[in-house]
Amino acid sequence: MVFSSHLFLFYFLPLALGLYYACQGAGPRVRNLVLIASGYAFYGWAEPIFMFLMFLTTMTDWLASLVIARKTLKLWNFRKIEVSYLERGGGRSSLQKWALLISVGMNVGSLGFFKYFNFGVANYNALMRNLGIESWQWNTFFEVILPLGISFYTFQAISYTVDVYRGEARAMGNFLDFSCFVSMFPHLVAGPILKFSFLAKQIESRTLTSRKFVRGVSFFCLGFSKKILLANPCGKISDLSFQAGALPPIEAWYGAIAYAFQIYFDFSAYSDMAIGLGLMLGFLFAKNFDSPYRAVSITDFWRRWHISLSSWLRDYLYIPLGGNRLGGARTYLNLMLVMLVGGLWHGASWNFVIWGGMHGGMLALERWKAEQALIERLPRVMRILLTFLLVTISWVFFRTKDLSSGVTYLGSMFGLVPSIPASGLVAGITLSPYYLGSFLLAVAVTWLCPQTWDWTRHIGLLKAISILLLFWLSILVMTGQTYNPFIYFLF
Amino acid sequence: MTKVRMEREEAALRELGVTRAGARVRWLLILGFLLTIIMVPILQAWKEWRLAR
Repeated sequence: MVFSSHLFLFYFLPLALGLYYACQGAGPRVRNLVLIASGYAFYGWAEPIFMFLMFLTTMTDWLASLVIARKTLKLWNFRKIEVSYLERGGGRSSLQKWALLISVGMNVGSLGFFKYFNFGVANYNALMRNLGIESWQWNTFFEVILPLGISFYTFQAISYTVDVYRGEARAMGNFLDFSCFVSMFPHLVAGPILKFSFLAKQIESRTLTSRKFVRGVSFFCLGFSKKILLANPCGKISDLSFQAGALPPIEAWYGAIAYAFQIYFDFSAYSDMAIGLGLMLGFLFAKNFDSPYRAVSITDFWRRWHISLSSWLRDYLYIPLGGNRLGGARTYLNLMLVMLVGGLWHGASWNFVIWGGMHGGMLALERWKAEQALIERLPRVMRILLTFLLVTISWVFFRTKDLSSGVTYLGSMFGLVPSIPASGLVAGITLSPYYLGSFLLAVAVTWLCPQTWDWTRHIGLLKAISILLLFWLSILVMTGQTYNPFIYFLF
Repeated sequence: MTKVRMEREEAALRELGVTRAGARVRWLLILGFLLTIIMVPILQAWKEWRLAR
């Protein structure tokens, strides 16, 4: 189910909100139960079978966390032992280490199997074919289907057991509370990736106020408008351009920049809607985007883009690998490794690895050159522009399906590849007033408008009317749109 | 995660729950939103029923 669909907006959401608020007086645990039920219904709508996978993951992580917190395998004694924070930096028994290993291993294992099995088999078979030993190829009789949002909820589940192990969070004694953290529908399938230590208190007790609800409505309506009015038309421009393959340079750049806007407005809109829904339900979620295209360097870009993923990678991968504490060469290697994992996290394709490698390389280069770099001496506007261009070039590999189409499209951006004869037809559609207008609006919103986070801090009558008008306009446009994908749903 | 960073992020989260908006504006937004998501399917069903007749 997608947030910007009729089914979610006009049926699921009113029902879920109605049930949730009907249980307002019944206490947080009953409200958590409503959230779990609505989360499973939301998740299982397309593929009910994967609800069992989510349940199994949740149960294993919960049991592992209790073993870590209570230092015993005697499940029947769990009720007698009070769950408390473990000592930070203190020693851990082998039982606790094993419990952590099982939990992390199961999450990484299920993510690896569902996400990379087909990719691994295809690459192995290609290698065998190239080596001329076709008889060694593995012909699987099945294709693994990717469960929705598995990349997001497994990362969240890992953060839970690791936080408990490190002593940064207290294990949840009640299974329903933990299940609520995993299956809460606002962040379930496309993030933000919430760290358990920030949500733990809110799951046990939270307040429902009209101030939270009204800010939630504002976030949701603005996110919905960004998705319908900006991301979708920009997506159409980029789809037509990338499907054409090779275009004249200006049109190829237009298509690539349109994709940069599509992915930004698509994902930041989803995050805004998730934050908004969280607020309506009384939760406070962390910021996921901080005007990333206003970044002055690639390092700055990663502080602003998909903040929940980059901080997850920093806390659970970069720092445990040694971060920047082990000297220059090791820091560059760690940066590269983290970005390669980050790239591969997005999907099983070599293009994502290239995209991650490009960003890892640029981050390492920036750190190596630091203040002596030429870019540091440029005016701020030029630095923003240069960063945006580098990011846009890297998006080409993110967008294309394979390496050769990525190279062809990049070649057409620099005039190195002859354009297809039908390029005039593509331009006829992508440069029509509706699409060009949406593109220019995206430019204005990206660099001139305040963020949703700041704009909704104070809401007067004019803002309230604007928010509602934008919401109604977006609903009208949505009813006429047949094109409504969500890029990050695929991850 | 360092304690300072944790506190900074928690403070940013607390700020999210606060909005400066008058009571009338709050109710306008809440009612406008809720009525929209409730009334649209009802109006759609009514329109289809009218067309079917």
